[in-house]
Amino acid sequence: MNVLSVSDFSLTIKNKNILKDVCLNVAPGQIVGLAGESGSGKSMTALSILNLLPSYSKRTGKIFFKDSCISDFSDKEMCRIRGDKISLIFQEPLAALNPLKTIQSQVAEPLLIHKNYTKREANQVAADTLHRVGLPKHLLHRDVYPHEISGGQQQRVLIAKGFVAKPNLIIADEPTTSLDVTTQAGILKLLEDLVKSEGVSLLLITHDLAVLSQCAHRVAIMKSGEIVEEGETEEVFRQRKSQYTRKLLDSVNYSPANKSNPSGKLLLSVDNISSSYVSSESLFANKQAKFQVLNNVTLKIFEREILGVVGESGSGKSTLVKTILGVHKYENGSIILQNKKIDASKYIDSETRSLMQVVFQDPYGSFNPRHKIRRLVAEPFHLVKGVFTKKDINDRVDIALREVGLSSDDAKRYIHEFSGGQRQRIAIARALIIKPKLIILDEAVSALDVSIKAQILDLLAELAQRHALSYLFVSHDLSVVQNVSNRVIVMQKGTVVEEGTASEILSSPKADYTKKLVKAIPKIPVSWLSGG
Amino acid sequence: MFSYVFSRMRVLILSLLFASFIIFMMIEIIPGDPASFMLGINAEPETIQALKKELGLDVSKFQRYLDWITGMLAGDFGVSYTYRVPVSELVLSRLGVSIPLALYAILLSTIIALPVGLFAAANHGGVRDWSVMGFTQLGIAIPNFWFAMVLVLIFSIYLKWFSAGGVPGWEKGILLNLKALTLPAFALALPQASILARVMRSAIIDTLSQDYFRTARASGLTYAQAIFKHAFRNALIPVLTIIGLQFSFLIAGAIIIENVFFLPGLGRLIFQGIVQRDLIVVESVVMLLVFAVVLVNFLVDMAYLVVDPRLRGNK
Amino acid sequence: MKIPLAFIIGCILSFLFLVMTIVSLFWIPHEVEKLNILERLKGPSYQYFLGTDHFGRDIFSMLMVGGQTSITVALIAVAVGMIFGIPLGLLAAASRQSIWDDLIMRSNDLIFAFPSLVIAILITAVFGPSAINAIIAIGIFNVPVFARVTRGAALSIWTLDFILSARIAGKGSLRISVEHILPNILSLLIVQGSIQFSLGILAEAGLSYVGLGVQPPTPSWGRMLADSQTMISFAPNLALFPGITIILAVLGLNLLGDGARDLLDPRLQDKIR
Repeated sequence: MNVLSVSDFSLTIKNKNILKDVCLNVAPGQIVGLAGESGSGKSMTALSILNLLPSYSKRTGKIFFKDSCISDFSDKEMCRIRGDKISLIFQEPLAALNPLKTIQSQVAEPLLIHKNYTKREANQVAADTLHRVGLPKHLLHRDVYPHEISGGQQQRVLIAKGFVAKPNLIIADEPTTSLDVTTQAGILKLLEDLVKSEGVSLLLITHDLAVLSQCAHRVAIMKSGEIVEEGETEEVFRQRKSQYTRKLLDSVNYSPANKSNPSGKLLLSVDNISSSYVSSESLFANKQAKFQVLNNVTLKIFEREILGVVGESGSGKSTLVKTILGVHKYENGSIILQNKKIDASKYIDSETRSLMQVVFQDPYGSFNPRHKIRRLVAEPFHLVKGVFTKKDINDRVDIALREVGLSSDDAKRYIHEFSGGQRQRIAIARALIIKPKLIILDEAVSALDVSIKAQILDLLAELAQRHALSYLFVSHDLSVVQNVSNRVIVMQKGTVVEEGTASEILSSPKADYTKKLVKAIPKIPVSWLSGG
Repeated sequence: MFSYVFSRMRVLILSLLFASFIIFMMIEIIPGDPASFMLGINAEPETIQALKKELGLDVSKFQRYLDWITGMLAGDFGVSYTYRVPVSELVLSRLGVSIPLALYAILLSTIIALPVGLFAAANHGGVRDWSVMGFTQLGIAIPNFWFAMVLVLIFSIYLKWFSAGGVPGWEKGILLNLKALTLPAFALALPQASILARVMRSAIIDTLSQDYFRTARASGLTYAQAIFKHAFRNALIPVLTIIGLQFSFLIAGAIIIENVFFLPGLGRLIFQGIVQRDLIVVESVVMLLVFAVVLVNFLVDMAYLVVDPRLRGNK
Repeated sequence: MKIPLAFIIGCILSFLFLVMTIVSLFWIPHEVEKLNILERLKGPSYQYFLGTDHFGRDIFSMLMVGGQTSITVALIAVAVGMIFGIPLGLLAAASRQSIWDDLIMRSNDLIFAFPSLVIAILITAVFGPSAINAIIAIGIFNVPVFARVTRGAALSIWTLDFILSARIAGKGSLRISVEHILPNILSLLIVQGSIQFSLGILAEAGLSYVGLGVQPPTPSWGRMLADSQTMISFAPNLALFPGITIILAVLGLNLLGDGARDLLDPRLQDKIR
């Protein structure tokens, strides 16, 4: 008998169809993956199973937990199921934990709700569970709060909380998306371990197909609220019956066709720069805590070259970007862009600034919501004042928009009228418009869906060719960086730990950290991808 | 944690210093010659001279400022010109009215506001929520002195349950005095409670949209249980902030209310001081009130330490 | 877009008061500056819409003219608060974590430490009671409020990437504050302005009540209340009407401000119950 059986389930919220005829089954001890891009309805499915929906949602169809039809349960009855028989783990662990309560009390809570434990017994079991999920000994005592532990540890705490009452099913909604890839590997291993040793079933919701290829027994692909394909993992990956599945799998590990050919001429030289700051809190404490953000970082970019920078959170890559752009001060060394010095503590003239532009990660914060596209794209012209007439500028805006795949009509609209992928195109248009030599892409595709990512990478490659551009491609995702760049540097805690060509880094990493990084990346077995 | 406490203490002391400076400036320097000011236009030059000597105005301004500060730290607030008694005596007797009134009002407003805010938040979007919002909007719009007059009209004049003003004095018994302070405390508490209830409501509604609330529900807590165990404490932080901020408005309100009810508190002392041009009294009492506000804000900062563990330590 | 009922009520009330005050500049039913003892303490009638006070003055006319005082004082006080407070807040946000920011914020906190009425008392004690001093006293309090609100809102915009874009385009903090930050926080500031406006009306009433606001013979709602106090047992109308007027005016503005804030910042997230 299946632990979970979702049967023709549909969900409508305020006359909008969120889920349509969803069918899903999870057997005991099984890991089922639910994959899809943003907006596909995966999270809503999870919330629907436990009926944590707004009160004005309309549901049809049935959801069975073992042999009880839980979709008919009242809220009170559902309360008995939640946390005890079925648990739900969410994406952002720090936000999902109550900042004012100790981690032990939060893990103990389901026991106090559902089982007749005394407070002391519950705390003991909680401590044991925390140990089971891999939390180090010194964190097992009573007074630890969520903000005192790392992101990976917070997620382990959430898993402990979801697991402590020994449920039959754990639903994990994007449990590793906000974590570093090395941490992600640990969390996934933990989940797999729990399934194997305790026999709990896992419904793993994620957009990352590679993750599912490694651990899921069965996989269901969701698009726009419907399940478009479902089956055993290897079968689905090999057969790809649905067109959408094909599109998704093609976009995974996408490598743009045109790779640029670097010339030998040096464009940007970053030489031994360091940057640190003193924590403002510690001004009153006894010791001063100095944080070294960048530590003797050196890199070179040649003309027509794409240099990739890989680093996880805390590696210093965003600071590096700001330093190169001349908005962050550094302490020693030098940055030279085409014979001009870049130093945030001194005045940088417009001519120098106009040599480089940037595209950011967040398609939503990158633009002033009150300005029209024309004004937004034309902003860099501030650096080359006086040279162009208004007509010139308008013409250039039109050309730039067309180059990125939009039309000149779009110049009249506002940024909120565009999708995430389109906004990145506009950001690229803005970066191109004054014809810089170097464009810095700071996690420029990280927030995009996998299929859109591929399109944008294609666009970037084409533009690099056409305009003889160099890119500094910064990302936490080694596989994307490797596919796009000529050379790659790997950063950890402010230091460059390794440098090499793109293929070298992945196939024969030298530094320990790089090896760890490469090992942690989930990969779809190559034989599955070649089809058939 | 200690860095937090020290920094808040530093703010406390600096605020008091600057406040004293400003008060001193306003009272002793700007009007020109305090002595002439106090005595009026028609005073004789000899009287002015005598007063100047008495007030110690023949030394430099800076010296006077220092004397004043050191005096206050030692508990000497000068001698009232009108009453010819040490200001500290006057203040002490008035404190016996003002402090109980303030505490009474805060207690009332908190006891009313927190449950009301909780109630509205739990019924968010429903009829009950709207009615609470409506009442609190009204409560905010009502001037507290007007409300005081209405209370007097209804409860003292028509119903004759309470006296229309004055306090019997603490020797006559606690309950009797509390009864006398009830109408004034209610008048003060009304706008405070309305604001606090709204803040409570929005603080709890904010926590409802937090992820940890969703986690609480996913653990099997009912809606009510989740609010009580998780939302309530988290909502206290903004509520505490508002209570601290509101304290200075409470004092301002108390000054006026004392007028309506003829209560011999600090507010009346200031007023009389102004009317009688007794700058010494005004100066010291204002300083005292500022001290009270700054102290309360400091206490609120300390209360944060208890509620929010994030302030207590480093990683 | 569904417009909340509260907002509509607020608009109507505020509009009515505005109209009433503007009309009073040109015409009022009866003279308010002359005493008319023969007509004293009459009840509401066709001739005297809300009755007369102890000096025979028509209450309704006094309320109309009193509105001028309230609105003028409160409005100028808000203007003062905005003119000084908003640039300070922008400056503090633009210099984030620097000594200017600290300085501005500390001064703010200091002003908040003074009970507002106490400052008003000090000012009027030293300089004498008048409308101007009431405006200054209330206005001084609006400055830190606007500074704080501006700074908070501006700080959250400073962290966004498009500001970084502007900095990379070589724009300085001043230009960014005016071109990018201000337009994005303007609606918030206007809402705050309406709130401070309503608070200003309450404050002016309080000051007039204790005799520190505009002086006779200029009518003022607060002073009408003060005058009515001794006669409250036999002529409660004298206290009730001005009080209700103040309540309605403040209520109208608050509803307007709150409604505007809700309209400008709709909560799109659906919360889980």
